[in-house]
Amino acid sequence: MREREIFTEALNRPGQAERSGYLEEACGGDPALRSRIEKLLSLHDSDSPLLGLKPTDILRGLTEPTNQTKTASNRAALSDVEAKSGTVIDHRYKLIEKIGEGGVGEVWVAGQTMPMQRRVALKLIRAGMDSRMVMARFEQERQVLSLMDHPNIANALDGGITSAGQPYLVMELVNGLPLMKFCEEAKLSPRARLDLFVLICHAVQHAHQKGIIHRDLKPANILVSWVDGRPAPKIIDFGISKVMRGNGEESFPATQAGLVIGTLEYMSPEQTKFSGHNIDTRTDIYALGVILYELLTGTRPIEPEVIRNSGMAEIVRMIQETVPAKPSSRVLTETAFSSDVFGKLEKKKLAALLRGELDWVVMKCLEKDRERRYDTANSLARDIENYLSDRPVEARPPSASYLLRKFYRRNKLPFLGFALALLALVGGVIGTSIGLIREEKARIAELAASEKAQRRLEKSRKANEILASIFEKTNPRDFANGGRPLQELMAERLGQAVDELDSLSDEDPKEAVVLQYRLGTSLIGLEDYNKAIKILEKSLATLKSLDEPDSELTIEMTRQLAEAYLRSGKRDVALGHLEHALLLSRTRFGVDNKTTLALMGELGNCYLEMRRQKEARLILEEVLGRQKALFGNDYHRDMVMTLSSLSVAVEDDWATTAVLLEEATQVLNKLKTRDVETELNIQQNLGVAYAHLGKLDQSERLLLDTVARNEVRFGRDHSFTLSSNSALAHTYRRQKQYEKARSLFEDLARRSEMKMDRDNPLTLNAIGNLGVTYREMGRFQEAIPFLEEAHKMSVKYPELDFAGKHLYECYRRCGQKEKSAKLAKELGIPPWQGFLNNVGDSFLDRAKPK
Amino acid sequence: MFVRLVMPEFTQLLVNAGSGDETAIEHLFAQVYGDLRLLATQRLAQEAPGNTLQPTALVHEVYLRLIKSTNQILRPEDLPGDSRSRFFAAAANAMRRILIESARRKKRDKHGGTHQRIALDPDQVAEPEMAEELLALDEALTILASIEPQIAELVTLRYFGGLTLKESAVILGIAPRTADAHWAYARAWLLAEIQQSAENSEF
Repeated sequence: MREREIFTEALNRPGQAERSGYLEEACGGDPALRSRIEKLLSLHDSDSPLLGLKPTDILRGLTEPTNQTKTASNRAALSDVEAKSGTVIDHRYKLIEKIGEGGVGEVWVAGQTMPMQRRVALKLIRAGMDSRMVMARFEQERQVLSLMDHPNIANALDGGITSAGQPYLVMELVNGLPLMKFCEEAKLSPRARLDLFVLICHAVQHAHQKGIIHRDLKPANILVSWVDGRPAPKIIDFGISKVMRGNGEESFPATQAGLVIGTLEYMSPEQTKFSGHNIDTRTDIYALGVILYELLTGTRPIEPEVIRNSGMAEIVRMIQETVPAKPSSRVLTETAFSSDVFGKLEKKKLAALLRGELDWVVMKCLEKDRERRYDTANSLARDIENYLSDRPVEARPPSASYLLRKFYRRNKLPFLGFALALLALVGGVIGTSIGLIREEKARIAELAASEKAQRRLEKSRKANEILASIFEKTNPRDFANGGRPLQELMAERLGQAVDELDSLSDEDPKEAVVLQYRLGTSLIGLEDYNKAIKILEKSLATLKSLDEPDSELTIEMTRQLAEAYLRSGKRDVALGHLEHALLLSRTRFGVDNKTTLALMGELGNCYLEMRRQKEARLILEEVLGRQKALFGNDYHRDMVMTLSSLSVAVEDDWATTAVLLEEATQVLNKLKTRDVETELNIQQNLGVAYAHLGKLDQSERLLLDTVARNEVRFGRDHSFTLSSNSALAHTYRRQKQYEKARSLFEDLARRSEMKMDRDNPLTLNAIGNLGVTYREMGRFQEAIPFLEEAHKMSVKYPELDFAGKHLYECYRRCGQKEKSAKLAKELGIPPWQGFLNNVGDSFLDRAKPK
Repeated sequence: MFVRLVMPEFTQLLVNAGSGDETAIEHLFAQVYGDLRLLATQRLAQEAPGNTLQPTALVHEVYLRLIKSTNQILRPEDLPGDSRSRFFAAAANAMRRILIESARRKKRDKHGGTHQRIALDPDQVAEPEMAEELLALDEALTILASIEPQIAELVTLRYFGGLTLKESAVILGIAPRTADAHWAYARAWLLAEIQQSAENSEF
């Protein structure tokens, strides 16, 4: 459109003379067009509020904007010169007084003129930072911030871009004293400080649930005032550091001009790393820990003296490596409170108060490894509430808890069935007992044999007894056990332990949940899926009732539950649980996270089992790409798993399968610790791939080795062993060693049915393949019952699809016309094909030498 | 792309709309419109009088709600480009319709309709004159759409949808500079149009 083009072009000519010269030339002899464009230009320069107010503002019934300044002059004022008091931004905010300035911007008290008169805090991002990227990011973050709504968080009210192109944010203006100053002036008791801290935790939790991380929590960002006779905190600048910084990556503070060293003291170890891109909610937990430390001791984990005298590198090293003194010890030093801060409470009394549980709570927040901090701000708050109401806290002295965890990690029980395993487990129990005893000793010393200690000791002893009971009288050579295999005995004992745990769960649900979870995973290792499902469902329900629907434990437990369902053939249920776990994990940790990616990988596996190969392939390829980016050159076990799964997903392209598996093997060999289970899995798949590629001898060699090693490691009847046997039988079949294949399939079907059930994909697969083998041997009549059973179940397990066409063939060959016609219809085989087959058969029969 | 995998209705709908499926586009609009309206009601009920409603925040929240109802988390930026554009276009148009409807109702009230004020009504327009301005803008915008559809769409996205100029430009597939020029033109054009119709109605 001509009018628009001329208008746009005219706008580009700044000077009055230049502009009219252009119009003269462009409009030529069309005075109507010229006057129209001149009108548009004058309207463009007018002050009309059209499209300037938000439509929703209009709807709220706002009065005419006051204090309108000329947009043009506004623009000049903001882009070239510093913002001055009196400047009006967006027709609404009049800058009054500058109250802060940092490297990235300024903070002003501003008067809002509409929709209502009030004072607000306005953060103006420094001109010069306004690259497009920063602005786009800024806008996005601003929108997220507006989702927060909590009485203890200063609201982000508004924001936008000034006419000069500077991003600005409008925040609630908070009156109050910074946290530490308030506590000092109000002479708050330790208890009142803890109460106040709990409020802060809840506010942080609210933001975390909206996906917002503060990143810069410190007492200066928490303003406290008296509301209704109680201290009421307000956290300011939530998520602002990210908005102000603009880009998505964390950058080291030293590179940001204006960030003072003081901020470093609240910074978590992961924030001080140059590569520290992946900040999560636990970063804030760390900062909360430093704040709690300061509330209770009057000083911070790193002595101010040390901060003053050390270089940046040294401070960073300390944040990353040095475990600070416990609050109870630190409070006795000179830098802590001057002794009159808590009124009559002297430092020694304060130290006695802090010693033990409060020490543990603080130290748990300050763990260098964030996996070991509190999961959520809520669980931190809850632990403090536990302390305040004399319930036992969740935090533990670091050393013992470390030992205990290590023990659990060591004992996922995948290798039961051998005397060696028994030794390892008994060793483990002894280890736990030592861990528990140490822990108790430490506690008893610290709690001075209080009643609480007695109670907890009793509980630990009980839990320990239950654990130990699993291993009692499990010697397979013991007559009383009737020579039953160890694995069976173990499963039985675990089952009993599950029941006994019920009584414990009344007293301490959280502790019971953790034990139930361990037992559940052990039961999966023992392939007792029904029991595993029962116990995991139960503990998940308990977790939910504990109000921890999104904790890590929930995610992990949901994952295990999905595995139990998947392995017992209930794939739809498994899929549902996996998707749920994935949702939780994505919300909590984001996509590029080890846990989330592992879950996506499992989802891929689930699709594979459901024969949804395309979806499986897409998701697994994505996972692999992300894992490669995430782990970089540090090869990771998870990548091996993904490669291995992916190799199964590229159906019918066995060359690619083999390539992927060879790559997986390479990665596997680069791992620091040997992972035999995965190694065997890959070797088996490689064997299958070779069979399809016609390398039958190689395939047989690999699979024979896999079977033998599986038998030694997992036992003769473990599903891993059964599955590798099945692969071997297939290779026999391809080698036309029919008798070997037949007897192996028959044996497998029997063993699998005894172990699992007849209605189980593994069992039915063996049955179906037994039928196929009979068919290939030309024993059609014998093949039929097996193929019929497999075919019938193919509705439930799509991998049994193969049975149908073999069955059709057998019916045809046995002359069962009615059945074959019916099946042909069902399978969509056109009638003429049957005819052709018949002709072919008779031709072949005739050609056969008699 | 991962998006195509675990994808129940809403995301599927988005993807279909993104590939130009008319039914899906209509359905998407209906979905967004319903939720946006509900949300605006709730918001106005909760907020202290005088606080502003942020169209952008509303639109984002609607997005989150729709996504949540499908039990998965996809941020708008995870979506393929076309679907994202469709979503924001639908949201901006839904916002426009909600606001215009309420402005109309307000105008009716002024001309002797019921005078009962319900505090929680999102359609509450305090100043009828404002409502008229909004209606005038809507009419002018409709005329603009018949001449310069893309420019009218830009105004809808930015003004009613609360998107930034840059975001709107991305969605329309034009350069930010072009969007800037279009915006200036649209504003002048609309002003001219509104003045014109005001003059006409005085005679």
